[in-house]
Parts: sequence; structure tokens; C-alpha cells
Amino acid sequence: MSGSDRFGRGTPLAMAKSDSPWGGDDGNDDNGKGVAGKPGGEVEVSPPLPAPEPPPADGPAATNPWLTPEPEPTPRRSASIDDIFRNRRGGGNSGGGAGNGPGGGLLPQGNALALRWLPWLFSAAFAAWLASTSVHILAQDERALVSTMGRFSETIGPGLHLTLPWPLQTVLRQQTGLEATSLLPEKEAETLMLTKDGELVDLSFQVRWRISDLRQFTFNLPEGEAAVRRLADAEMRASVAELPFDALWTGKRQAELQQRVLGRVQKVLDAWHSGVTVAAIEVLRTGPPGRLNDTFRKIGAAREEASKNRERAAQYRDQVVKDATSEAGDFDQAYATYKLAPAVTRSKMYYEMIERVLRNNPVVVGGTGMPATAPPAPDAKPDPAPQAGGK
Amino acid sequence: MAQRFSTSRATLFGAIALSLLAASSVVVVNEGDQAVITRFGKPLSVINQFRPDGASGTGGAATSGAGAVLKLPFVDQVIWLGRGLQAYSLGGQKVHTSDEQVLLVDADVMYRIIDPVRLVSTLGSGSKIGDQIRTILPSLLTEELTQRSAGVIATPGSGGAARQILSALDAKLRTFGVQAVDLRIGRVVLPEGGQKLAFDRMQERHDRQTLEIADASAFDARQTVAEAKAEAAAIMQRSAGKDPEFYDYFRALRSYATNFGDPARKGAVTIVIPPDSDYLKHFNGK
Repeated sequence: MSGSDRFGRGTPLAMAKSDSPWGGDDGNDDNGKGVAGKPGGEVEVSPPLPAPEPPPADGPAATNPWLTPEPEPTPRRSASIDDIFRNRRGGGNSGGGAGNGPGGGLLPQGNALALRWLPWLFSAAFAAWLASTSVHILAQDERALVSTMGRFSETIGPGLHLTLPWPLQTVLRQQTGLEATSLLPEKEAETLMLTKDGELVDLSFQVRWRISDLRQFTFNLPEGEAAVRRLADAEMRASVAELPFDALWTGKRQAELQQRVLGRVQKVLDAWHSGVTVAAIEVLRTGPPGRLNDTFRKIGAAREEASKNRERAAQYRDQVVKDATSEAGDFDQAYATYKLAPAVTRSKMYYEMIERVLRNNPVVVGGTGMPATAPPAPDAKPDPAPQAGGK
Repeated sequence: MAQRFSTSRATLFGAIALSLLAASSVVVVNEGDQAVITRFGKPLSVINQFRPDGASGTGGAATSGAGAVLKLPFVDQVIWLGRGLQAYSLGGQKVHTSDEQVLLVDADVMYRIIDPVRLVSTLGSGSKIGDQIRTILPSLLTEELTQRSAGVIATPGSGGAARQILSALDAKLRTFGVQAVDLRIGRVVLPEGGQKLAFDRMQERHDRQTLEIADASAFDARQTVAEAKAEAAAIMQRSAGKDPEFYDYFRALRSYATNFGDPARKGAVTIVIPPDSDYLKHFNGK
């Protein structure tokens, strides 16, 4: 199939060429021999079309091709292309049908111009083909595989490289410096995975990987990213099945999970000689199944309430301890003074208290109140209302 | 003129015929392919056959048989096969587990063609390998996985089942010249009914958890309060314990001052002092 395609492409070229006798002189015969001789004798060159081209192109165009393509006047060129088509149709008719007489009669007028431009056109095409398939400039993050007639010859890195032109050497370039990121699942969707305790967790993650060996990657793992993706998915699910739901949902063991999956995936990729290095496995989202959202919202609320409750209790404790400490401090101070002068301190404390009470309240002297005793005897309990007795 | 034209046309047709011949007699085999050349339908030779000792990319270029090769034009045909690892995924295989659950299981297989001639003479082409796996694998999966519980199936290697299935699959595929390199259980999914059960179980457990959380926090709060009180008592004991009687006096005075002498509640009570009170004993000149 590719043979016939190649042939189909080859035909007009060959036809046009042998139609154009390179200026109409007797060089025609030599060219004909060149075409016939090359593919017959040298077998390793499968496409015969480029082979006949170089000799004539080398002759007139060897110095020119790099100069001519640009200065060639565009309007005239398009005109000449038109002419070629007309000419070719004319040539085809004459060849298939009536014979050489009328065909020859048709030639001179339209063809004269076309024939003059044809060599230039072909030289330009040849130069373009040569330049585009044999000069390769690779960016910093690119690598390329060079194959000679299908057989791998080398991996080339950044910079300028020259190879043989296309059918002889093929160059397959690939960005290898950039990390690829594969999302699982590809589109935002619920992905339920079975946990150790038989529950379901909704988990999405991404794999960041890059090609560390382009040759291995290209030839050993033709599935490429799809294979990496499938492998990572399987290993993630297997690793999730080793952990209980709560550890996954709360993210408590997320780092451990990621590390575990990374190690497993890399080990398998290495065993496959896949040329892939996984940089990271990152869990993006873990959560309960969407159908249980209500239940889990309640848990969230309960958690929040519980933590508030604990906070309030802690506040209470702080307050109580603070109060006790401050009172104990006051007592210690008072006691220190009391130890030095017990009776005086007692009286002083008593009168200070009375002053404070009387300063802040209206006072009535007189009436019949309960007899107040002050300062109380050391063994007597102070009455709670000795002063307010008459109230 | 006419004479020259006819010669040029003869060369043209000659060239076309020759290039056609050339195109049909040369095979260019790429590094990633294996090619089987058949003559009248019979495999004749293999170009760039995979060799376990020199998988492409691992050994040097010397291990590769890729390149341009001659064949008889029009008589010899080429069958192309992949040389790298190829994947096949079997989806949604129903498995009854040992703990009487139903699971839908995906299996991912990686395989490689190691004997192209055998493959071509048994299956004809590489595209039929998938069909073979599809017929072989389900029974192997069922056979191995039904002996295991759902929890085990989901874990790495499915408790050794994956390895068993792989070796059984490999043995069968070898008859077609194919090596099964890797098999892992990918997605393990509960079907609709099982999923509902799992959801119910989860709901029940997490509802219980909600209650537990509330209970635990109430318990903790009570605990904290009790601790706080004990701590405060201990602090007071350390100080007041030195002289409980004086503490009582100290505390009583402080209590009166707080209750009746608070400047913030000025005039809240009226204090009546009987003339014969102890406070006024000196006032009376006694």
C-alpha cells in the first residue's frame, strides 16, 4: 500500500522530468539511464524518486538552490505553476491518446516557459526537502531518536544535528525535559475505591512522570501514557485497599499512601524497561461517597461541637486555677504579715473591711441590731451578717 | 521530435516499473516492529524478532534486527507485529468472593509477542491476541478469585491470586507465541446491590461515630472541670493549710468586702450599726 502511494507520488515527478529534457539537449538520454540504472543496481534505496534527482540538480543548481528560492519572483512562479498543469494535462492526453504528432505540436508554446522554470522548481523543492529532513535543532528539553532505514542508531540531545535526509534517516523528537501530569480520573468524577474495612472512599490523584530513557519508552512501551496511567490506577487501588477508611478520609496517612504507590509503580515500570521515571504521586482529593454527604456533614458538625465543648471546658479550668492561684497569693501575703503580728493584723484587717463596707453604703447608727462582735474571737466562727443584721 | 518523445516515454515507464519492483522487494523494519515474511502464506523468516536477553533499549543496537531487508517482490508478504509491551484490559468481570460478596473486577494484562512465527501460524495476526485473552482470562479470574475474600482481592497482588492467574494465562498464551508479562487487578467495584450494602454499613458506622464524638466530648469536658476543681483545691490547700483558722478569718472578711463593699454596687444595702456594737465601742468612749 505504501509502495503504491510512493509510486503514485513518484509518477508525476518522473514524468515531468522526462518530459523536460533539461534544456532540450541530448542530456536526456543520460538522465534516462540514470533513472533506470539506480534502482536496478542499488537495492537498499527503496524510493527511487529522490535518487535520480541529485545528479541534474547538482549540476546546475549546486551553487544556486540556496540563493534562488527567495529571489525567484513569486507572480511569475505562480504563472509557471499554472503552465505546468496545463502542460501536464496536454502531455497526458498526447501520451494516452492520439500519438506523438499532435502532442508534439502542442508543446512548444506553453511549455517553453514551463520548461525553463522546471529545473529551478525542482531544485528548490529538493533544497527544502534536504534542509527540513537533515538539519535538526533540538531545544533544551528535547531528545530525538535517529533511525537509519528503520534501525535505531542514536539518541540525540539539545543542539544542532545533521542527519541523512528523510527516507534514509528518520528523526523522532519528543519533549523529555517536561514533566507530564496524568490526572486520575481524567475528568472530575467520583472514583470509589474499596478500603481495608470494606468501605468506599472517593479518591482522585495525579501522577507526575517524565521520560528518562526515550529509546526504551518509544520501543518498549508503545502504549505510553495509557500504560502508566493504568498501572498507577491499579497500584493506587491496591494500596488504598490496605488502609482503613478513616485514615484515608482524614488524610492522616496520605503521605505514606503516596510514597507506597510511587514505590510500587516505579518498581513495575523499571521491570518493564519502560524508560519512565515517576516524580510524584499526589492525592488530590479524598472524601466520602457523594451519596453519604449528609451523614458526613453530621459528623463534621459533631466534631466541631465537640471541639468547642472541649475548648469551653479548658477555658473554665484556666479561670478556676487562675482564681485559686490569685487568692492563694493574697492569703500568703496576708498570712506572712499575720505571722509577724497576729493581733494587730487581725484588727487592721477587720477595720479595713468595715471601712470599705461603710464607705460604699448608707449607714444608720442606732436601732436594735444583733450585737456584732469584732474582732471575733480566734475560735469563733464569724457570723455571716453581723453588720447587716438590722437591714 | 516524435522519435525522441517515444524513447523518453519508454524510459519513463521503465522507471515506473523498476521503482514499483524496488518498493515491493525492500522491507524497512522499524525498531518497534517485528516483521514476519510469508511466502504463499507460509512464514519464511522473522525480522527484528524480540529477544529476552536484549530487549530494545536495554542491550546495544547490536541486538536489534531492524533495518532494510530484501524480499521477493509480489510473492512475499509482510505481516507486521509489535515488538514492545502491549496492553489488554478485561473489564467488569463478575466474581463471587469467598465472603459471599459480588465484585466486578478489571484485569490489566501486559503481553509481548515472543514467537512471531508461531503467532502467525496459529492466529494469523496480532489483532487476534485480544480475542484469545478475552476467552481465556475470565475463567482463570473466577477460578482464583472465588477462593478469596473481597478485602484480599483488592489488595496488591490479590493475595497471590494475580501471580497464579498470570502464570496460567502465560502458559496458555505461549501456545500462540505470546508471553504474558504482567497482570494486575485494577478496578474492583461493588455492583449496585453490594454498593448499597456498603453504603448502609458506612452510614450506620458513621452515625454511631457522630454519637460517640458527642459523648466523648461531654465526658472530656466533665473530666476537665473535675480536674480544674481538684487543682484549685490543691492550690488553696497548699496556702491555707498552713493555718486553717486564719484562712477562715481572711476568707470571711474578703467575703463581706465583696458582698457589701463592692464600689460597683454602691448603696445596695443599708448598714445599721447598733450603738452598742463592738465596732463603736471606742466611739462610745467605753
